[in-house]
Parts: sequence; structure tokens; C-alpha cells
Amino acid sequence: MVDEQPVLDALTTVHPLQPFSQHYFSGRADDAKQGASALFTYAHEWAALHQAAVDEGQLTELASFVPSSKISPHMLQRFLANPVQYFFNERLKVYFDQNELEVFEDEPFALDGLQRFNLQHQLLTAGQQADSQADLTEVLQLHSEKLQRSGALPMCAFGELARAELVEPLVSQLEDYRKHCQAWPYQEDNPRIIESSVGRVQLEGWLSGLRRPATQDSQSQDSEYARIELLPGKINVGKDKRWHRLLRPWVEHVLSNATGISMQTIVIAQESSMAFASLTTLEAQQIVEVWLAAWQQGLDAPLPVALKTAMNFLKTQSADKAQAIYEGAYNMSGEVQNNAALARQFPTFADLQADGQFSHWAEALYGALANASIITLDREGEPS
Amino acid sequence: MSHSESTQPLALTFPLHGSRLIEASAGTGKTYTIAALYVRLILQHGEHNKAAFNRPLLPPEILVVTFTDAATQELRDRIRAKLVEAAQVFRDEISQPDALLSQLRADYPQAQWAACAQRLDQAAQWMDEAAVSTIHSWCQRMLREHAFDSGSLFTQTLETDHSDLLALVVKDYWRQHCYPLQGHNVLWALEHWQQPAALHSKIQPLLHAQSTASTATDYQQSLNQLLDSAIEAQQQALAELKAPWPAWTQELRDILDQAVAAKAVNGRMIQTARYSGWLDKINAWAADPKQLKFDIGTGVTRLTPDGLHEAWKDTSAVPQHPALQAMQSLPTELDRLTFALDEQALWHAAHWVKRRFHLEKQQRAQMGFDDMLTRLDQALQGPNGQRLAQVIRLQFPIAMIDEFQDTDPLQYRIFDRIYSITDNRDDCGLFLIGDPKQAIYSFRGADIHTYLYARRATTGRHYNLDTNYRSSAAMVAAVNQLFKLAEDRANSRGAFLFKQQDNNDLPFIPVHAQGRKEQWTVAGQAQPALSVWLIESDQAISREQYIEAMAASSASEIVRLLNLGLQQQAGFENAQGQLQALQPNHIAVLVRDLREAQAMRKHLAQRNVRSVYLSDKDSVFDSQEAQDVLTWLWACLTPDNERALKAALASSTLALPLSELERINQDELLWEQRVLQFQAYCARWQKQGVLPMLRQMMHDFALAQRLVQRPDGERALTNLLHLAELLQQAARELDGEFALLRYLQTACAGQAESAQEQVLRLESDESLVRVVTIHKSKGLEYPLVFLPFICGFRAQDGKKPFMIQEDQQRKLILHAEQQHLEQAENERLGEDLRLLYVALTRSRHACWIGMADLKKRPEQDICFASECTRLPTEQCPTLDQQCSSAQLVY
Repeated sequence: MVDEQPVLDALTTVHPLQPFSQHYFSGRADDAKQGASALFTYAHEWAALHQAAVDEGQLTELASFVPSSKISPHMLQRFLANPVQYFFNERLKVYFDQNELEVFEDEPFALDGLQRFNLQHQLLTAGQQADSQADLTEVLQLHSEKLQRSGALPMCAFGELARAELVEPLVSQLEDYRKHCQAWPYQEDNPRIIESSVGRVQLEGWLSGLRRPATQDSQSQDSEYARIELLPGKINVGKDKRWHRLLRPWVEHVLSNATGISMQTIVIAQESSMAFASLTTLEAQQIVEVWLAAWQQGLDAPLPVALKTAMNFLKTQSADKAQAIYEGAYNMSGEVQNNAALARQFPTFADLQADGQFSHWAEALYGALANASIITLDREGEPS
Repeated sequence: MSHSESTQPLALTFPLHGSRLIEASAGTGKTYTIAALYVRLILQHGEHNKAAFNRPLLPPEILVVTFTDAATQELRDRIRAKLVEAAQVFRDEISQPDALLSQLRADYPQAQWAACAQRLDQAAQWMDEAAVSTIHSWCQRMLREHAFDSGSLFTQTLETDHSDLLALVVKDYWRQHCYPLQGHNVLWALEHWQQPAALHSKIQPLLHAQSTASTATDYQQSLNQLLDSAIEAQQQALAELKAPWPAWTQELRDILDQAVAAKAVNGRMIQTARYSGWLDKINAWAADPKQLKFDIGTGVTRLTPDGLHEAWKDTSAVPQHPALQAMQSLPTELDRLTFALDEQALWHAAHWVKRRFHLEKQQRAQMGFDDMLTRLDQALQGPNGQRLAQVIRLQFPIAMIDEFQDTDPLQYRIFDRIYSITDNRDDCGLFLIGDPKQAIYSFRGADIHTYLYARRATTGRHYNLDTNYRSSAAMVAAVNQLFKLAEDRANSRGAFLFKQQDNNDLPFIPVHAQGRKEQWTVAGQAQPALSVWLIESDQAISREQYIEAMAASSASEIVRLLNLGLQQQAGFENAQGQLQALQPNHIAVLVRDLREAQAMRKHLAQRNVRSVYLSDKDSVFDSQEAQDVLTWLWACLTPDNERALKAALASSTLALPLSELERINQDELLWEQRVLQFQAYCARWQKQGVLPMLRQMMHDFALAQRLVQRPDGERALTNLLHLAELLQQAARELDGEFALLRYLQTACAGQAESAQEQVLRLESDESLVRVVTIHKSKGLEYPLVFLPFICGFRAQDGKKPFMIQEDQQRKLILHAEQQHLEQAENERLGEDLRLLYVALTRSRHACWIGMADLKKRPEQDICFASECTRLPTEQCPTLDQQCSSAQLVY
């Protein structure tokens, strides 16, 4: 009776779990335990893995970006709303959205947030364009029925309810809009030019929709101006504001004030109205300069900053809370999860903070918004 | 009861007929015993002590059921090896045979040895046809082989994922029953169900509930009719509740007014302004026949007998009034009204969906996993059931059910029907093998109470495997001591909470230790088996703090031990005094979930210790790599689509430098090259398949080289290879490339439970520290085990439906009342204690557990915490700043 163990060992080859295991390629004697010397592989492609570190010399920094044309206020808005995504879109022409395969096989059963926002936007536009004497309830009724017939709403009684729910807050919102329009009855017909530049970055755009109050002489030169923005959806969450919705009006607000006029922006949202108080020309110009400089740097390299996270950080000064906003927490998806560009460049909050510039950029891009003086406007006829 | 003391091990004396239960504590050689019983069945061993079966059996006649496919494979191999070994023993070919086998051989006269050996050899060769299988595949086989007796179709396709079909059925319910709703019924449906997807998740638990513990709802009527009558009934009940209140509020007002005037009450607790506010609100509520919501703030506790008792100065003069009594139960009764309607409607939906789903599957001749069991069960309970049971019993006179603690009522009913467990028949045998202390799969529907029921049904026929072969004597003693303390404490509910007075369905029985040849030593000193670390704090700490502190401490200790191992100072010393140095793969950290694992791995990585994570839940489709492969495939299919191609090139996994991405924009030729490159991928995909294409791509981008430089590079690389394989597999059954793309997209978005093949694969078999979930670790063993987060738990908050044990069966609770919550908490704690048992018994030599006083701890939990702190402790040097360590020495 022979002891079988040595025979068994000689006959047995224990392969590593992975084809790229270094044991296949080392050929070293100390790997020879348990018959590893018998290891061989035809998968030559993995060999490179263990030879030398790959040349990372190509990791050069990007050349400074040279803007090919003047930028528009809209581009600035997009940049500020999402600096990292803007970098990928504008500089690299990379778009991460992947919705092309989405197939809708069913009728809508209920409206999601985005659908509700879009439908309300359409209805608000209809109400805004209607004759100022027209009955708002009737206008909204007509238009929403059109939407229902087009299949944009759920079926049967559910559609009826959804329609009523969509329209319900809009009447008072549009009434409020009309009220403010009456307080600022004179709308300028010709848009004004906005111009600004820092270094190579030149901004140019048109400012329209300026209004002047009824109390002022329409010929007076140093008058107060206002713009009125109608926003679908709500702007408050708890005690905080939905800053990503206010950013667009805020940018126009600053740009307008930087042209030398004194203008407030009245924002009329679903549940409340507010106004950005006018800024001095100097204040506004300083903000614009910081933005334009940041725009340039934001196209040289992705800036480690994201709107919601930065606003939270500026308000709370707590990195922990900002981290929860960025990475998400229990029952809450984080900013990085909703944005593929951020996920590519700064997968975690630690990556965002890696070069220590996060708070600098947060302050530069959003500090003025965080400190903006906001006037809450009473909405008449609303309880509490 | 335990088996009689004898010199022979249980595996040799166990009677091979009748229905019997073997309790095999962790590490007591359960698989070894099953294999030994198998050998005896083949040989018809045991005639001398009436333990033999009435005839010798062959592998196809012995049914062995276990839990997973992997376990089936392993068990089959072990049995085959045991048969071969036994044959060799009978031929006297082994110089030092296994003690058990030589005892077995001694029971036969030498003249029979050759015949026995031949029989064993035959059996070993026949193992390919042995009936070793999972319960599901066995049921499927029975339905197919006995199609006439079971009344099932000859050919049925097995569909592993039916979630799409189910979603379709739910939508159909919505269209048929919710669209026709009228008036306030629509509002009700909108408020409670919103849309089909929400309804789907609401009725999901109801679909799986074994019993329809609902009220006598008429399922023939439409939802509209049901809501009409139910809402009317609700309104009636509500009106009855409200009826007396207008009069009562006036009377209460008088009583309180007088009391305040007479200064008979505590002015802080009863103020005119506040109670008149409450009473006004009650009046308003009572006046509106439809208002269900009842909110009067603290009034709901003050306007009760107890509340007034507290506020009255002279407690003997506290007024009595029926309203006070009624107020006590009012909130609960109102809740019940809401819930009753809610449950009725949900059961209506669930019932309809269940029936329709069944019908749809039958029309398609499809079966889901669970159908295999339910259909065999139905066949056995049906008119032909007797006959079918008899046929199966003849086919498999003996059945051994492994891991029986994870059974459920359905499985039990099937085996009970065939082998009639309580009758203890001697013309067949059913051996139930398991360890109730390791029943930790309740979230998958396993039901320990079914096990306990089986345990009662086999009273008098219980057997215990009583020797632990896995752990060192000290380790076994430590675990014995820990659970024995809890078991023997006066007025306790036993270590596993099943003790009632003098009866304990789930006793803790200390096991003997075989001991181990080697000894765990550090710097020449034998080490204690069990170390308990306690975070000392004045106040309860949060789970986050606990995890953070314990992960840091454990990582530091692991580093210390590994460093000692490198210096040949720590390791396992055998009897000859040779030391096998400690390696990273000797250490396992057991965790509950991904979050704990990530915390642990983060701290290990900070200290330059590499680790691997093993789990049985996380799907490869949830990884970033899956997302990126999706963009790659999309780009390969449409290389002319600039957006798609650029998105692929910019993906995180490809990780091209930004400068490279910019060059594509500037250099027209380079761009063209890329387009051609992806066109070539597309061609390769079409010609050779998706796997060669992805491999080619990984090669072209030198992905392997660049990925391994990332800390989680091997993980990413493993995921990529895994995905490529899965896609290649899926491609065989799909038509065309776009179908595959769609498959991957739905898989990535899918919430469906991940199938076995989607579970993340082990990224490396190098000698690394293992971070393992406790569930995954079951059945495995490690020399050193850390349980840093064992105190963590998730209390039952009743927000989601849950199951509790009530009146001998599982009951689904949709809306929790206090006593249900207590019961569920109790069961949750029981499961956590079993989890602790599983975790502790994984270790061969030593185990570390991290303790802390955790916030939000329901009272019951203290039972477990105080158990440990009550053990003799002695202070040891501080490990980390937050954490002092107390070591227990045995």
C-alpha cells in the first residue's frame, strides 16, 4: 500500500481563481508550492499586467481653454447650475445621458415630478399668454382638457383628478402674477444689451421683460425696474429654498443689475412668491467678474463643486451634512447619483474635497446667492 | 432527549427507519454523519441492534435534500468519497482507516467484507444518478415523472424571473378594477394606491403569504362594489363612534369648568383655554360625518381616567364619565376602521392578482420557482394525493433532509404527506437534519416554528451530535459558557427565547470538544478564545459611532496580529512546537451588510491591509462597471452616433485622461480612428459574440494594466469579466444585439432579486483578510473571527408589513398594533441571537466581539448585552482611544 499523497500532489494543479493572477506569469520558484510550477496559461493578454506599470505620462493637464465666441447668459446659467457637467459638455463634447432606450409601453398611470413640472409649465405659459382680462379658470380648463385629450394624463377618473390637481394651484399663482404685472405695468419693448468681460471671456446677451412701476413717471431715467418670473413647482423645502430652481432667475438678476440699472426680480412660484432685492451696480459687477473668471477655469479643468452640495455647505458650514447631500443617505439619493459627470470625476465627497478647493469654489460660484437678500411677498387671499 | 450513551458514535447506532430528527450543532460533523448514514443504508447495516432498514438500498432510492445547488454538489462529492473510502476499508487497503469505518467493518464477519466492498463500489459508481438535490428540483422532477398522478403538464418551462408577468397582471387589475371606479372610491384608490407600481409593492407580501388570513371578503365582486359597501360600513361605524360625543363634550365641559372653578385640579395640566380647544375640535370632528382624522394633540391622553387622575388634586374625587373611557380606545378604534378598509381592498387585489397570475402561467405552460413546491403540494393534497404519496414513498423509501431548520410550512407539508411524520412508519424513513440555533433565513421565508412543530411531531426520536470537531477546546468552552449562562438564568426565556417554565423547544445543549492539534499563540503565549471589547460610554451611542469606533479598533488589532505573524511571533503551534505563522486569510471579519463591510474595509485599507468581501446578495448589475459596459455596448452598436461614442470613451471604467478625450475633438483623424475601432468591435460582436468583443476592448484600452493600479482594481476587473460572461450567456437566448442591450439595461435598472449567478464574484484568492456577511459565512470556518458590529440591529418599526407567529401559524401583519410589534421585536431578537450563535461558531481558535450600549435599544435587547458584561471581566490595556478592551480568559 503506497502513500498516495505525493502522487496526488504531483497530479493535481491548483489554479488561481482569476485568469490575471500573477501566479501564472511570475514563474518564480516560491510559487511552486502545491504544484504551482505546473501553472501555464495561453491568455498572454494578461501578461502585460504584471510587467511594468503602464506609462501614465500622458496624464497631462489640459491647455487653457480659448473661448471661440462670446458666451451668452444662458451658457453662464448652465455652467453655474452644473459646473462639472458643463465642462464635459462644452470642453469635451461628452454627454452622459442615456435615455434613448427608454420605451414607454403603458399609458401614464400617474404623473411623476418631471411630467408634472412640464405640464404645469405648459399651463402656466398658456395662462401667461392669455388676454389679461380673460377668466383664468376657463383658460386653464380649456388648455388642460386639451392635454387630457392628447393622452398626457392618466385615464378615466384618475385623469380627471390629476387634471384638477395640476390646475388647482395655478389659478392663484397666475392671479398673483397678474397682480404684480399691474403693479409694474410698463414693459419695455426693446431688449437691452448686457455686456461684460474678464480676460478672454466675453459675455453678451439681451435683457428683455423689464418693467417699470405705475407710480413712476414713464420718462424718468433713474427709475426702479423689475422682472417677473413665473416658475412651475415650489421653491421652498422646509425652511430652505430649492436653490437649483432659483439659480436661473438669480443669474439674470445679477447680470441685469450689473448693466447699471436697479432692478428687482420677482419670482412667483406655486406656493409662494419672493423677490431678489436689487443690487448696486458695483456689487453685481463684482459677482459677474468672479463668475466669468470661474467660467474660464471651469473649462480648463472640472471644478470640484456641485450646486446643491455647495449651497448646503454654505448654509450649514458642515462637511458631514454636505457629504450626505452629495453621496445620499438613507431614503435620499445624493447629488452624485443623479449626475453621471460628477460620478465620473468626483465619485465621492472625499474626491470633491481632495484638492481643498471645494469651499473656495462653493463661495465663488454660490456665495452671493446664499447671501442674497430675499424678500418674501405676501400672496393675497391665501390662508396663513 | 439525547441518545443513549454508548461507545459507538451516533452515526453507527442511529436507527435507519421511521421519522427522526437529528440536531447537529455547529461544527459537529453533520455532513460526515450524513455520508456515514448513507454508507450504512447501502450496506443495510444495523441488523444486530434493529437499526437497519428492511432492505439494502441503492443511490437512486435514497433521497437527500439540501438547500442550494452548491451544497448539493458538495454533498454528492462527500458521499461518493465516503463510499469509495468505505469500500477500500472493507478491502483492507488503508493502513490507518477512519475509526468509524473500522467500527462499521467490525460489525460484519470477515467473509462478507468482499461482498460489502463490491456493493459500496457499485454504489459509488452509481452516484451520478443519486437523488441528491435541492427541494425545488426534486419537486420539479416528481411533477414530471408522475405527471399522471400529479395531474401536471408533461412539458413546462421553468421561468426563473416572473416579475414582468406579475407587473403586467397588476396593471391589468388596475385597468379592470380601478379605471371603472366612481366618486369617492377613486379618491380612496388614489390616496392609498396611487398607481400600479405602488399597488404592486403593497400586495407583494400578501402574494407570498401562505394563509389568506383575511376577513370573509367576497372576491367575486368588483373593487367598486367592495369599496362602496366597505366605505359605507366604515361610515356607519364612524357615525356610531361619533354619536355620543356632542352630548359628552358638553358634560365634560361642565365637569372641567366646575373643577377649575373649585380649584380642584392642577392648573398646569388643565387649563380652560386648552381643554375648550380640545372639546371644540371634538365637536367639529363629531359634527362632520365623513371626517376620519382625529387630532386633538395631548387632549387624547389628558381626557382619560388616567389623565384626569394625574391632574386632580384630590385623587379620590376624580370624576367618572363614559367619555373618558371611550377616549382611551378611540384612537385605536379609528385606526382599525382605516386599516380594515385598507386590508379588505388589498386582499381583494392580491387575491385577483394571484389567481390571474396563476392562470397566465398555466396558459404559457410556465412555472416559477415557488410553483414547483405549491403544485406538488396541491397534487399531494388533491384527490390522487394518497396514490402519489405512495408512489413517491416506494421510489424513495429513505429521505434525508439537510438544513431542515430553514424549512417552511409548505415543504413540511409535502414531506409529512409522503412520510407521515407522526406515524413513524417503519417501511420508510425520513431523517430531518438541522440546527435550529442556526435558523437565520427568515427573510427568505424560512420558518423556525415549522421546525419546532416537526420537533414536537418526532418527540422521543431526537438525536444530538454532541462533539464539536471544528473549534479548539477553549473556543467551544467559551461558546458553551456564553449561551449556558443565558440558558440557565432563573426566570429567563433561555438562550434562544423559547423557554417556557419547564418546557424548552429550542434548548441550548453544551457540546463536547474534540479539540485541535494546534494552538493559537502570540509571542509564545497561548491566547484566550473569546475577547470582548466594550466601548465605555456614559450614554448610549449611535450605530454610526459604534461602527466607526469598532472598525478602527478591529483594523488596528488585525494589523498588530499580522505584523506579529510576519515576525513569526503569532500563529498556530502544533504539538511538535512548530509554528505556522498567521496569514491574512486566517482572519475573517463577519458583518451584517455592505455598509458594515465598507466601513471595515476602509479602515483596513487605510492600514495597508488588503481584504476581500464575500456576500450572497450584492449583484454585479448594481456596479459602476455594469453601467459603463452599457454605454460601451451602446457605442459599439452605433459608432456613428457621436454622443454615444464619446460617452463610452469618457466612462469611469475606461478612465481615459481628460487630455485624451480632448484630443479626439481636435484631431479629426484620431476621431475617425475611434469610429473605425468601434465599428470593428461591432463586427466582432456580430461575428464572434459579445464576450470576445469586450475582451478585445479591454485589451485595446490596456484596461487590466490601468485598473489594477486602482485600490479596487481587481474588483472592477472581476466584475468586467463576470459581466462579459453573463452577457455572452444571455446572448444565446436573445435575438440580436439590441435585445442584449435591452437585457443589460433592464438588468441594471432591475429591482428583481438577484439570481445566484449575478452575485458578485470573489475578486481574489490571494491570502487576504476576508470580510464576510454572517449569512454567507454559514457552514464555513475561519481560524480567527472578528465580530466587531455584532450588537448592531434593526428594530422592527412596523412600517412595512411583517410576519409573526400566532396560533400555530404565520400571520401577515399589515398594520401593526402594539402587541404585534412586541411579538415581532421578540422574533427579531430571537433571530439576532441565532445570528450571534452562527457568527461565534465560525471560529476555530479565537473570536473577538465588539460591544456597546447602542441607542434606540428596545428593552429586550439588554438581555443579550447584560449577558456578556456579567461574565468575569478584567481590564486590559487600551487598544484605541475610544475603546477599552476587556478580555475573557478561559
